[in-house]
Amino acid sequence: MEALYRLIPDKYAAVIAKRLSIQRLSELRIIGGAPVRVCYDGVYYFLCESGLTKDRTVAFIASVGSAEQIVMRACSHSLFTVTDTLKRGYISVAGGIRVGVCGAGVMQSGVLTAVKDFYSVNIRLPHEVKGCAGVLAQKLTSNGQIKNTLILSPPAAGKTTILRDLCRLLSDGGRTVLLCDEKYEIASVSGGVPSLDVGCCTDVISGVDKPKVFEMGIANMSPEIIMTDELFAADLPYVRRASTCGIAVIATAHARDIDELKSKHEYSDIVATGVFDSYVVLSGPPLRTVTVYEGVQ
Amino acid sequence: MSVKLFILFLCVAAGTFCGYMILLSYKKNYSYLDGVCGMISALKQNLSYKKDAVSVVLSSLKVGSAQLQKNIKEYIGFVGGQSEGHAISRGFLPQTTYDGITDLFEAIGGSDESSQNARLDALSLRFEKLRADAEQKYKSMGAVAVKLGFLIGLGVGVLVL
Repeated sequence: MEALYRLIPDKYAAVIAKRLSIQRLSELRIIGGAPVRVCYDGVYYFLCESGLTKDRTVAFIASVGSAEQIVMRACSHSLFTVTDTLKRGYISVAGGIRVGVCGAGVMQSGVLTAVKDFYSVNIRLPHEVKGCAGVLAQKLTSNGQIKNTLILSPPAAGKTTILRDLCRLLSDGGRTVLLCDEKYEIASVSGGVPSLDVGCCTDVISGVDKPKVFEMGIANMSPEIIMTDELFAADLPYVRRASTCGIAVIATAHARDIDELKSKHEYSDIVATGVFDSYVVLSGPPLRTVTVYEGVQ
Repeated sequence: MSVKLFILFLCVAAGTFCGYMILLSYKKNYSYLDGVCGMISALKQNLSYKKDAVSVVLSSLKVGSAQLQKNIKEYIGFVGGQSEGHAISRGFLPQTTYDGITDLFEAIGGSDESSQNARLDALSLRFEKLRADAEQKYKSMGAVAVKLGFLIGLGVGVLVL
């Protein structure tokens, strides 16, 4: 996790390296002038000299301006490389790290043109749990065909981790997978090489909007499966189009369960039309259960 | 007689050497500025297509000037978090060149693509003018310095004898 240590102030890096297990750390939240928080084993703590604490009085207090320092380090002091993603609220860093950024938006004629005065950052670390989607991969296969599947969970419950492993298993099983890695989180391609294992038969398109990937992928890469993270309402027509082209789509979306998904106006249509054959609901920590639903209307 | 000739030779050699050193100093400045112009051009080229981070572009750049190499290393060290300050060493650089290079390293990477392009265009103009002046100095005054050094050495030698 050299990439993480390069981002954060040395004293935080030293404590994390010495006192914590990086495998169990999933988030580091830094707000200027506030105690530094970490998500460790799915539970939030404050970061302090001795490691973790629930007592905010002994926690490290982030200096004002530390969010800006982290943003500048995250983009290697080259803001122009991340202007587009910054406007969408994040920066992708090598190793699959995603830095969520809050600051003040600069608007021009109703359009967000830049983000300035960075206030806080949320550094999210990727986790590779090989084999976590083993059973799921079998359940999503029927008569040799992969079912259109939507994986649901609240934020930080492991959607991306399970999607990555599912991608690896299906790809290593000989399926041609097109992975849409819009935020460089799933495969984390750096210099043309994925830094996380997504399987040997996976084509990865990184940093491109889903609609564009669906368009390019269907036309040029003849995939059997398209996998993508964080589906939004605007992407649904493209999912429909792919599924009518005989391509299975496996995607994720933010919702606690199917009822919550149905209650969202923009998703209710997709549930009713039955584009997805299966819904996988992940519960967050500590239980981390995986439930598969089929034939939901 | 041979001692006298030897002393004369020493004086001429010393004078020519001084002139040559002046020529080298003009050349070093020109070579530095030529490297900076090449660097700006590489940054602009990269910005129009690949949009790599500045440190990535600079680390793959081949520059002839040792001072510029040193300055690039200092910048990459700062960006990589290996050094705290943004200090760029001055070395032999004249004040105008040093001010320009400090402005350049402070400006690159701190804005979006269009502002970056505009800033690089402005800096490119500034450095091209400095390079043209340095080239002119190197070519005309450098040669004059060598010739003058030779003549002064000869004169001093004659006077000594």
